[in-house]
Amino acid sequence: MKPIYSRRAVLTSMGLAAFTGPALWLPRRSQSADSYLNPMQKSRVVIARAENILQPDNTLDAERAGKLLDEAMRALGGLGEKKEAVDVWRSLFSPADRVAIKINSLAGRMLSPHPELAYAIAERLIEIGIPADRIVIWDRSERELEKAGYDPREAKGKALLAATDSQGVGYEPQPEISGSIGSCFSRIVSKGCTALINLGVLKDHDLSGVSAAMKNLFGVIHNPNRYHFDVHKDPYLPDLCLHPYIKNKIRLTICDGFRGQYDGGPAYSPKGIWNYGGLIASTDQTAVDSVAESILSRKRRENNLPSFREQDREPLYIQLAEEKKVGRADPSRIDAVEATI
Amino acid sequence: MDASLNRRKFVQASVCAGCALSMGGTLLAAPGAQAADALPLTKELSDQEALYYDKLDDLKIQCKLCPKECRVADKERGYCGVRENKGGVYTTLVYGRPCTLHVDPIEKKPLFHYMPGTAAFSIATAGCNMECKFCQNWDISQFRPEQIRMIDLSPQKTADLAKETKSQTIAYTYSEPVIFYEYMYDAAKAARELGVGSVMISNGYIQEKPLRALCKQLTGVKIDFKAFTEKFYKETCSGELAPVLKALKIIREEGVWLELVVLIIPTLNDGEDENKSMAEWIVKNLGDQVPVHLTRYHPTYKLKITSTPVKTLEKLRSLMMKEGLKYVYLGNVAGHPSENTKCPECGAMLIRRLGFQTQIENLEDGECKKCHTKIPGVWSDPLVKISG
Repeated sequence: MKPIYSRRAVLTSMGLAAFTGPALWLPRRSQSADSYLNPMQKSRVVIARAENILQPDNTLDAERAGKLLDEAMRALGGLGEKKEAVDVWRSLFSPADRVAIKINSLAGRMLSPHPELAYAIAERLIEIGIPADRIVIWDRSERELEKAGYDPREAKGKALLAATDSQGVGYEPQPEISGSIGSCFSRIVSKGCTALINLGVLKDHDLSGVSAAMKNLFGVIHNPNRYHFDVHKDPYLPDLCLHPYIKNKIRLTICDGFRGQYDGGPAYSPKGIWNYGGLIASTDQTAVDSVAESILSRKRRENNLPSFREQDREPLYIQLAEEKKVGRADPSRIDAVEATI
Repeated sequence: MDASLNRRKFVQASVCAGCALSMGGTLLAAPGAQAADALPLTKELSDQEALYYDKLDDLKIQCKLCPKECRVADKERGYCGVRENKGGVYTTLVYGRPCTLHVDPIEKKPLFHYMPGTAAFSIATAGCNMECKFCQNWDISQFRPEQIRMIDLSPQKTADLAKETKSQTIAYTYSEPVIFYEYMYDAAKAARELGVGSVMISNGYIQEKPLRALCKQLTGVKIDFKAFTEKFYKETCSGELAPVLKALKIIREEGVWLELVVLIIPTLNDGEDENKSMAEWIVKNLGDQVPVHLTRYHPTYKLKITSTPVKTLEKLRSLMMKEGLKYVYLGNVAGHPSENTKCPECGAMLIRRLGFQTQIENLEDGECKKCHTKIPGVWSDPLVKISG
């Protein structure tokens, strides 16, 4: 298979070529990313929805998607109308960052984060001074990226496309322990970035119940199959999120819900698909999962489907994530706000 | 690069190793040829339909190969990481996709009562159905096939190469052969046609039906008997003891040559009571003639406990022999006298070993030359059933 992006570009621009030792710099931590650590503060989650963005061919109206993203970020920053979305991006990222946007491309073109949304995110990062060649949109394999509709020609000038299986990238050579997890991490997340954006998709998952935010991060380790069974109730996902590569680097979580799947996941299953028409954004990925659970559960009830609990796959990992201080799961501690254009 | 040339290079390298094996009459040198680089690599996963699974609703499947019985949704993989549900069809991704090939001495497996001093064409694919924290081959067993090297080698070509490299046996080893069951089965079948035997070096975590079918193709099995407690299997290996015990009995019933390895790890499975119970169970269910290899652990992968003292191994060996086991060996302790095979009746030295070097002394036609006691094992053609 042809390489999605040249090895040289990925290795050089993302700093992987130079890495032989530990990370060279500490990531900048945003205040909002830490907000859940303050027991008095709620985690803000923005549910941004608008009509006529999703096209019949499952592409997005890129301009309107970008506008909705801007509104989501303005609402996330809670800055009022005097501030622009770009200020929120500036509060989360610095021009010195190398940003890795982790997508979930398992389900292919029909149920992966839309490229138009990923590119819109990249364009906003460029707007605050991060060069395109310091932004990488990535997942486990080049094949999955390609099948999900990511094309290097379209990405050009916006971001690099790369995968852990791209030549010269790979996994860390030794497993690292984080609670119940012991895994080799993708070098993109260990050494290739200073900041991480989790760009998942709103969907049902056969084993974890919900796949929206945390579940996407199984794609950063080499052995997710070791942790799939009982993943809905075991601490694997929270423990993964507590690893410093994740905990110290994640700045923003966006769940693509323009099209969602409330049943039959994680693969694309037409019978469980619906057009939710929006995205969910937060600096707290646990809160995104919590909101996603309530959206998917409601949709399942509307369609007379058994609950996650009745199917023995209630996503208890979300609650566990709160207990382990990954983020907020309790809806009463989540400030869910809506945005639209 | 030309694939046939590569293949020729591999054979040349391996035959040289075979020459080393046969030099010096019965005193054999360990070869360890590692010429897999000379064979064609591929990035394409296999899409061969797997055996032993049930189709469920909504394109889901349930695997029936190993006791984990993974229930797998479309596009997902089982615990082993090498079997994937593709639209409701469970697929083995590693059929004809070994990641490593070596020509090893059979003693390296270790099999001590099976064709001593001969070569084993040793293959593995990525993946495993357990995750032992002390796995010494974790860099292949704990990875998905596409994350490491894949060689394009069909079962027939595997058998052909084994024959060409003058290996008497194919050993399915290093990772966990159960998870590449279909490849192993077909390669063993093809090898049998060429007069080459097949041994499985396994954790024994497999269901009855596939195991019984497989036994028809195998000439030997070595099981890593991890410990004698469910706690160890669960906490240290992500497995279960009970299905392994059942598999051991099945292998015995099927009449395939069997040897056991127990890796002794300080504080985790080195208790006297536990090992006494294990020995009792072996004698009662498998017989006192089963060779047991107590091997020395060294820290690796996720386990950092210090290495096993040799004295611990010696003590446990004595204990197991007191329980009635006739052949208890020590492993990973080069030069230790307990690597040798002695006649349990008269004490004559039958096979002297130093590492992987083997010298047959008082063993002839499966008997002790001194007292004519039958010594259990596979001593000549691996396709001839067990003697003794």
